[in-house]
Amino acid sequence: MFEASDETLARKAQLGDRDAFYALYNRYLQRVYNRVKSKVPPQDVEDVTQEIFIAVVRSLDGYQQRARFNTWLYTIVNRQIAEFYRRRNRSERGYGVELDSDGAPELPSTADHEQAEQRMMIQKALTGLPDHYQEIILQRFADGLTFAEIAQQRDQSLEAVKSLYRRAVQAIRDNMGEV
Amino acid sequence: MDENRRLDDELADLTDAVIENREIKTSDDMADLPEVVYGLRDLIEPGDPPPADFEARMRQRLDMEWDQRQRRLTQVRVSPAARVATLAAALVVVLVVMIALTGPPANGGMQGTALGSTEAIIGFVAIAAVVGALVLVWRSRR
Repeated sequence: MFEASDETLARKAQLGDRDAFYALYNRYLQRVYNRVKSKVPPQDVEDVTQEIFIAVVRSLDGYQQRARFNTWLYTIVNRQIAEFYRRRNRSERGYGVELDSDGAPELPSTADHEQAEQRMMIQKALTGLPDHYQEIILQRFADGLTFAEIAQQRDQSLEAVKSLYRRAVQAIRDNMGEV
Repeated sequence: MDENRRLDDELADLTDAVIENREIKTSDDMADLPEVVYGLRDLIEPGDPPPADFEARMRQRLDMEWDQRQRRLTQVRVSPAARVATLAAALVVVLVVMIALTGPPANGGMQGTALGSTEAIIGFVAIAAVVGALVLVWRSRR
């Protein structure tokens, strides 16, 4: 069956078509959620994801058909994540241990703590990468594209994509050594 | 096939297997890269959808945001200048109807000066309203 392109749906949404907006939302929710998970502490993922979609509604009129919709969307994702870290730095909250409803600190088990530390290390290493390395990793893990689909989207050969991917993974390993 | 290309393919195959939760053997040449791939999988958990209660809350919030957007759009479409222009046009219609109802003088002749007649005043007001409306529309478009 014919499926409307992102750009067609975005145009309809700009003209006030709610169904078109929700079709885009359903298409991209999982990818946006995954991208946020890759860069934001777990307890803040839902808030940041919601802020991203609110920003999409508010700036929908600014989207121009010349650009690919997902390029425009991921620019908003990155901007909202950067905004989250700006706000967090201002409030100096940090990754700290959260208080439960009684006000007592919720202490994680040793295994949970190790897992959380590992996640934090890999997250830091990932966000420290140059954009083109981050992007190929997110395309594979967050967007769920196969290497062949990534090659098609980037207009590159499959070999070039796999090579870039290996360099990106190596760069994460190198960054983890420095963290 | 050169060595680099073999390693590229092996890492790509390993990644596909890890994302799909399949077992796969890797060569020692991969060193500690598999650890990074598993770490990325555990960080992003690509197969885990957002929790249903979160999605329901977000849909509710987005519905509100969408309604606000629609209201804003409607307000923009009916700008103050457009509203004044519409009012002026309505006034012109009313005046034209009034002129038509007043009708020509009973004897059909010319009586008094044109400036002093009711029709002339109504006509003057109508022209002023049209000109005013056109100026407002022109200014709102700039």
